[in-house]
Amino acid sequence: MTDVFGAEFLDRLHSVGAVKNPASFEALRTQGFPNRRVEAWRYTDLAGQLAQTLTPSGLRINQEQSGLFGPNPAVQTVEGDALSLMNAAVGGEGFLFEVPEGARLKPVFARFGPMAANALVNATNRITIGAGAQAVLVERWGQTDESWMNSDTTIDVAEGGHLRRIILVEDGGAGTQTHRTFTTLGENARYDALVVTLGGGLHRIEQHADLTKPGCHAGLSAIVLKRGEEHSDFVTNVRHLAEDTTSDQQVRTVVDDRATAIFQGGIKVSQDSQRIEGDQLSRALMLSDRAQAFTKPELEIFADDVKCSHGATVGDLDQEALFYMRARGVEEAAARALLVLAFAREPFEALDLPEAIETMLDGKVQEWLGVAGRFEEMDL
Amino acid sequence: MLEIKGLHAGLEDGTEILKGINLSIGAGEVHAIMGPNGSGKSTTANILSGKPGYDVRSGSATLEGADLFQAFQYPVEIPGVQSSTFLQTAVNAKRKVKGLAELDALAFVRELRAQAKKLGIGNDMLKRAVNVGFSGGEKKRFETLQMALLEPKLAVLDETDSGLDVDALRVVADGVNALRAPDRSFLVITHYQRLLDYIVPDFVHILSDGKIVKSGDKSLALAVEKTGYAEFEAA
Repeated sequence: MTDVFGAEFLDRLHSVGAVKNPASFEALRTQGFPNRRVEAWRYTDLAGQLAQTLTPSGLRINQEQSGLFGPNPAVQTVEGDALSLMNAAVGGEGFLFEVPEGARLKPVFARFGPMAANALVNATNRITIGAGAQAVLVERWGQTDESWMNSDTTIDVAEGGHLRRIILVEDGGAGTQTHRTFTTLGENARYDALVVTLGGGLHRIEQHADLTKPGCHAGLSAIVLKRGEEHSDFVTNVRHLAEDTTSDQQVRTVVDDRATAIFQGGIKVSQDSQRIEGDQLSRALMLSDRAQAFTKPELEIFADDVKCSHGATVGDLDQEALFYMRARGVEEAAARALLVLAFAREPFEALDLPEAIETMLDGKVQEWLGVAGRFEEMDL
Repeated sequence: MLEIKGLHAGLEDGTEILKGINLSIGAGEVHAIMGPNGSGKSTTANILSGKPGYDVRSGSATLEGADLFQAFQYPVEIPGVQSSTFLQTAVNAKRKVKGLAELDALAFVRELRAQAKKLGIGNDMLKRAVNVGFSGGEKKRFETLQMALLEPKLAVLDETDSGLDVDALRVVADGVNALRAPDRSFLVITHYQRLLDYIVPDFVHILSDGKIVKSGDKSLALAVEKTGYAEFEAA
């Protein structure tokens, strides 16, 4: 009998008594982890991750005080792929963020990690946004070594609610982060997510959104900054299941050295969903000849009255703009940094974020570029 | 200040455009280069400012000292880069070369406001991205502001008049004239004589087929206006 992909990894988990949910474990042990013959995983190989010996560990939550945010006491199994099964099998508790109807919250900041060395963290998180409520959640996932953080987050945004969510995934070491989000949107609800991934060994972030009622909108965007041997796989899957729904995906990727970045962008429009608008734009900047960027738009449209656009560009920095600045005495490194910064900022300018969050994100990008604090906003 | 000797240059693909340019610009002088399309005017500006894609075959162009000089070409739009941030970065790069301390945001804004006011540039324009959505007049004004802030020893103005109406032309010319100083030189490159009514040159050179075929004072520009370039064509 040929063994499934990752069998030894699972057996090691089993032998340390990590399995809390045998049914999920058996399902996973039977199907195994997805290998690169699975279309959704053709660019990302988990072999290195599955060769590791990791110690299951709980999620460490550090957050600013908020009565609405805390540990998730009632974990529900999420119907995702093998990684969701692993999460369910090991029974990871995560966080719970519940915003009551009509509430208007100040931004909530939560930080996950860093973990103990060689930890395997599984977490099941739940976010509910009540009718007409508005919230901004900033999540920071980070670790310093080669641990693996794996999570599933389910989100419900009720009628007229609005969640803006920043997911900052930043690793100091060569860690692995695999995070999936499954969002369901009610009538006139909005979910605007911005994933920012920096550092790490392998990051795969999935954003799934079901637009189930008229008037709702999902914005699933990402800023991907990778260098060295880093690998990022950003996956979106928007399903327009009701008429008069809109979605927007803005992905900006910067890859240097031998880094790899993938964007798999899905938009699906079901047969009865008329008057749909779905936009998707992926732009990648290649700062090195050996870096790689892949974009795979996947549009499945079964309705007639649909406006869907998708675009993908891969290129170098604008040489005319570089020369313009160089001719005025701006040093090469500074000119390049200004251009990359402008490029990377594009997705978060559209989100109308509180200034403190914008400044924080700007700082992250500048830090990545090695020009922290160099370009201050001027008060004119 | 600027000495160009026997400059032969062209594109990297081998096309020769400049076929032996000799030009000497003294401190405080304003020189104009005029010429028909394709005579090598813009190539001269591009080579002086070090634009990639050109190849110098022989000859030399030397500028006294290490100061930067500025090529005043068609302004490039740079989305996402705030004009004020760009200006601060450029000014501080210049200060660093001169061994001066960098200006922080507060000190720079003070200097920026003072210079911008003279050119009728409002704060809203400085908050916008470099040249993005600027009208023709705003672009030229912005370039003139850069000149005022960067104080180049030599400024090369390439086709500054293209696409400008008379009012915008006057604003730019006033800006340039205000910057005329005994230690600052200008090389004005233009197809038409019109600009030279406002920025009056000390010397005018006619460029044809990659060579300077005639030099004179400002009356030469007027002669070209009357008779066209035909009589100056290189034999």
